[in-house]
Amino acid sequence: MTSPTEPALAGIPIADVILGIGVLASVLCTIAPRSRFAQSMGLLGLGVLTTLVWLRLDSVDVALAEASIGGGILAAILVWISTKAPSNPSPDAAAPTRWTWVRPAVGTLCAVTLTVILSSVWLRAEQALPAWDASLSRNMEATGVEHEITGVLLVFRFYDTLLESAVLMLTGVAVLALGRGDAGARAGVDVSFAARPPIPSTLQWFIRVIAPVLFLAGLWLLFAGSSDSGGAFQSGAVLCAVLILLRSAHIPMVTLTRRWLVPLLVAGVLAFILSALTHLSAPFPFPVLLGVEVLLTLGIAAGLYAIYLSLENPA
Amino acid sequence: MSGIIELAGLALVIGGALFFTAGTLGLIRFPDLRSRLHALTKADNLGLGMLLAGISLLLGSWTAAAVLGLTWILALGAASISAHVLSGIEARQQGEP
Repeated sequence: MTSPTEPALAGIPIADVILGIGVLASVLCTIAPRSRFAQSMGLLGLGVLTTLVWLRLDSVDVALAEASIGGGILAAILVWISTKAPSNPSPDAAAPTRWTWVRPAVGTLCAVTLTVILSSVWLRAEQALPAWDASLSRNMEATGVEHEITGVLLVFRFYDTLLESAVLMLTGVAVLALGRGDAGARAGVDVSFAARPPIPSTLQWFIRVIAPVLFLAGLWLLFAGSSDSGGAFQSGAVLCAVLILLRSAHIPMVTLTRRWLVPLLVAGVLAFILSALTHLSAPFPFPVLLGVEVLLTLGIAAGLYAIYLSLENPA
Repeated sequence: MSGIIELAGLALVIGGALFFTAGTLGLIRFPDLRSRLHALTKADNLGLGMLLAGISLLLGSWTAAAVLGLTWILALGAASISAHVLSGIEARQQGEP
């Protein structure tokens, strides 16, 4: 580190230092243990701590996305994998291990280097923030939304958001195409009903109670996104969590998964592109913006749910 | 008055963190599944309740208190139902009725 950054480092609150140490420790927990279960748990802990880091950086939006996608959906997928997948160790794990300290040491070194680089980038980027702020508030009327982050994501960084949604859509399409069974994950829905273990009726009751609450929270995240923290990605992740819960309570959703999953998956991205093509020079009117956001949310939820479903019929 | 409320909120937050620590310790150190579930559902839920009560005192807003209270109720339900399901699975695996 050069000398100008040293005063800034000295002023870091003790809580941030503890948080940083915690992140490094959970990275160690993720890469050091041999057991797949311990690694999943380490990664989940890392997700929680990363959410806290984003909160400390005042990025509530990213923190929400990290908590819902990184913590929630990834948790469901990882738990599924670590309980269902065959537990044979990988071929190289059977070989006698020499130099067991190498992997943790290299991982720690990489993490420290990345942390130093990222923090120095962050410290330097902060000085340019006011200029960005001024030009943003000058141009905010053109976007049609009140919240700055939504404006940036949906208008100024249109291609980024489009490609993020498109990547998720393509992943969902690939997952549906490669899934085993007659038509991918969609056809496996009612087939695997009988194979799954019976669940107690209290779980079913509780999920029936809690699903509307979660659904409401997801919708609130979507509509809060126009003026506060929230948005399509966070809301889509929560809606996908509702679907996963309903599915694990064996509540039949055959019509939804067979007929609506693929149209929903594609509709968001298509509506996004179409609305952009029809409003090349004019700002988005609010109804169009709302429609695009709702369709994007449904598409994100459908894509995440398709990925989850594919785990039950792996290729 | 606000000083007392702040002190009470801080005390609740610290107490909640202590209960969370105790619950985590139990999760790590207890020998079998049911004792671990016991530690998780009892100690952690009390810790969560104290933490949320302290936070709503510190925030000083009735809306936040209502939302946090709803959060606690839902977390209580989720914890007890999942503990019930897990211990049921364990009982079935060990061949108990």
